[in-house]
Amino acid sequence: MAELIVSTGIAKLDEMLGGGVRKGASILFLSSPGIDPSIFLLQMAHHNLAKQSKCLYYTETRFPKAVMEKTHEMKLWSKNLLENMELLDGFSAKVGLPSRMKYAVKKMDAKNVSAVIDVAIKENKDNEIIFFENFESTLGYGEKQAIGIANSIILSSMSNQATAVVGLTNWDLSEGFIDKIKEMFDYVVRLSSIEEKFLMRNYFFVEKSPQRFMHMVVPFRQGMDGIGVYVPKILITGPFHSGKSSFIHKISTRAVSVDRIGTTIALDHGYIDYSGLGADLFGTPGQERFEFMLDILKKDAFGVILLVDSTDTTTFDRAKEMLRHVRKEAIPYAIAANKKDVPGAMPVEEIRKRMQIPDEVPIIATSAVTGEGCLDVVKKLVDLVIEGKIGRKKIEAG
Amino acid sequence: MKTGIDVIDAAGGIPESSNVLLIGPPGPEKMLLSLRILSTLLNAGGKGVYVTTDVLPSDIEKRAKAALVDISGFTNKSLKFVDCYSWTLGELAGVKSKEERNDVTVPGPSALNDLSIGITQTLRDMENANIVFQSLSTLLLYNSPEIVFRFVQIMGARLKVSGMTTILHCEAQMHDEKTVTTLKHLTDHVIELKTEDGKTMVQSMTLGVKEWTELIL
Repeated sequence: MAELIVSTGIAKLDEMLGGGVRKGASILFLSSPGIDPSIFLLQMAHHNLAKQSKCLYYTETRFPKAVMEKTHEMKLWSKNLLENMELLDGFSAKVGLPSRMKYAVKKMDAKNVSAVIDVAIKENKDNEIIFFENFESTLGYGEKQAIGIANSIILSSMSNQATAVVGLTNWDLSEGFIDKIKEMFDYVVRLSSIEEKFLMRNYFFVEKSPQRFMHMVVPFRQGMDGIGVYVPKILITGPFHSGKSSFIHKISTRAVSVDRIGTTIALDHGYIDYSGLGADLFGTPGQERFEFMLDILKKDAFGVILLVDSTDTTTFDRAKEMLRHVRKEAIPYAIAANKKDVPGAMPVEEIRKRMQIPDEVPIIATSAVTGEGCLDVVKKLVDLVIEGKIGRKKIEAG
Repeated sequence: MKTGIDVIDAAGGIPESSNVLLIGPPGPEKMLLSLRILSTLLNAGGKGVYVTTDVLPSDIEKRAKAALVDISGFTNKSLKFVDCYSWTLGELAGVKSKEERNDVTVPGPSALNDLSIGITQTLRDMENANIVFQSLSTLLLYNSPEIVFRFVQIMGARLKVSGMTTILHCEAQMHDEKTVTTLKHLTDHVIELKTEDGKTMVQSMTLGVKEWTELIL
C-alpha cells in the first residue's frame, strides 16, 4: 500500500514535521543566498528512490547531465539510485541545443515550462514526487508568470497524488513575490545562514505546515561536498592535563580514543544525544597543536568547550591563548572549570575575573571524574548554538 | 593597492576592499588587464581567485603566458580558479565535460547558487584574496537582470566585508543602458576600456584617470 506520508530524507526534519509531508502536498525549501536548496531536493529524492518511489526532477539552470555529475562528485548518494529519476530538461533550449531527454522544454516560456511538467506528471502515474530546483530562474519570465508556474505544478501534482517539492533561493526578491509563493505551498522550510566572514553557519527550520510542527532551529553543514545534517561538532579543548579525555568519555553515549604513535595526532571522539540533537565531541588531547585545533574550528565546529584546570592557575595563560583563536572564528563557546572535586579548586567567578571572560559566556564548575556539571556545559553550549546568541530572530532577519 | 598598470597606479591604484566594474569592448583587453593586475599581486605574495564563465581555466593560463604574465606557477597555490564554463562546453562539444584540473566547478552560468557557494568555498582558506570575475555578461545572458543585480550586490558586499577586491568584467554594447547604469551603481569603481586606431584606451573617473589614456600592457 502506498504510504500517505512522504519522508523528506532528513530524519530531523521528518521528526519536526510529525513524520514527513503529506502525500500530494507541496513543500517549498526557501533558502538565503549561499545555501543550495537542491541538496535538500536531491537528498529527498535519493531517500525516496531507495524506497522504490518514482521521482521526476526538473531543472532549467543546468544540463540534466550536470545534476547527475555533480551528485556523483559529492559522493553522498548512490549513483544507480539517482539514475532511476526522470530528469526534465529545461536548460538545453536555453543554450540552443536539442535535448536528449524524454521531457524537455523546446521554447522557453512560462506556458511551455508548465506544460512539459504537467505532461510528465500525467504520463507517469506512478510518480510520487516532482522536484523543481532553482525556481528563482522562472522570474526570468516575469513575476506573474513564475507564480503561474508554481500554481500549475502544485495543482497538477495534487490531482495526480504526487508531492511537489520546490527549491527557491531568495536573492533579495520582492517581498510580495516571496509572500505569495509561501502562501501557495503547504509546507515551507527555511534554510538560513549566519555568516561570519567566510565561515557559514547554516540552519533550517520549519516555517509553515498544515499540521503541528516542532519550532526548532537545526544546524547543518553544507559544502561543495554536500550536506551534513543535524550533527554539530563540538570541540573540547584546553591546556594539557585539564581533563579533556576524561570529560568526553564521561558524558558520551559512546566514545573512542584515536591515537597515533608519536605525539602528532591524538584525538578523542565522543557522541552525545541531547534533546533530540546529536552532537559529536572532538577532543584535542596530548601536546596541543594549534594548527590541528584551528583546522577543526575552521571546518566543522559549531561550538567550543574550553576546559581549564581550576586548581592550576599557571595553565590560564595557555587557555586564554586558545580562547583568542576561538573568538577569532566567532564560534559560540562555554567554559568548563574542571576538577571541582579537587581541593583548592578556584570558584568560577574568580576564574572569570582572572581570565577576563565576558559575563555572557557560561562558566560551569565540572568534574570529569564524577561527571558533575559536564552535561550542563554541553547543554549550555548547545542552547547558545541553537537558540541563544544566534537566536531565531536574527536568523529570520538574516 | 598597486596594480602594475602605470596609468592606474599613477592615479593612486585601486583601493583595497572594493568592487571594480571593468567595461570594455569584446576582445582580449579586459582579460589582459585583469591578468596583469593579478600577476602583480601574486608576484607580491598576494592571493587570487579567477572566476570564469566564458573561457577554460587552461586557456586563461595559456593567454597569460602568451602575454608574458605567466601565472600558471601560482595555480592551486595562491591562485585558484572557479570554473563555470567547462560544464557547458562539455555538453556543447559532446566531450568530457570537465578538465582534468583541481578547479572548483560550477554547472553553468545560471546556477547562481552553485556559483556563490563555489566562490565562498574557494575563498575560505584565502584571506585578502583578489578576485577576477569574467564575466557578468554571461550571467546576464542566462538570468533575469534583477537576479544578477542581487547576485552582484550580495556577493559584492560579502567580498568587500571580507577585505577582498573584486574586478567584474562586463562587455560593452552588449547590454541596455539601464543594466549598465545599475551595475555601475552597484560597484565602487568603474574602469572603462575602448579601442581606437588599434590602441587600447582606458578611463576611470572614480580612480582618477579622468581623460582617455592609452593603456600599455
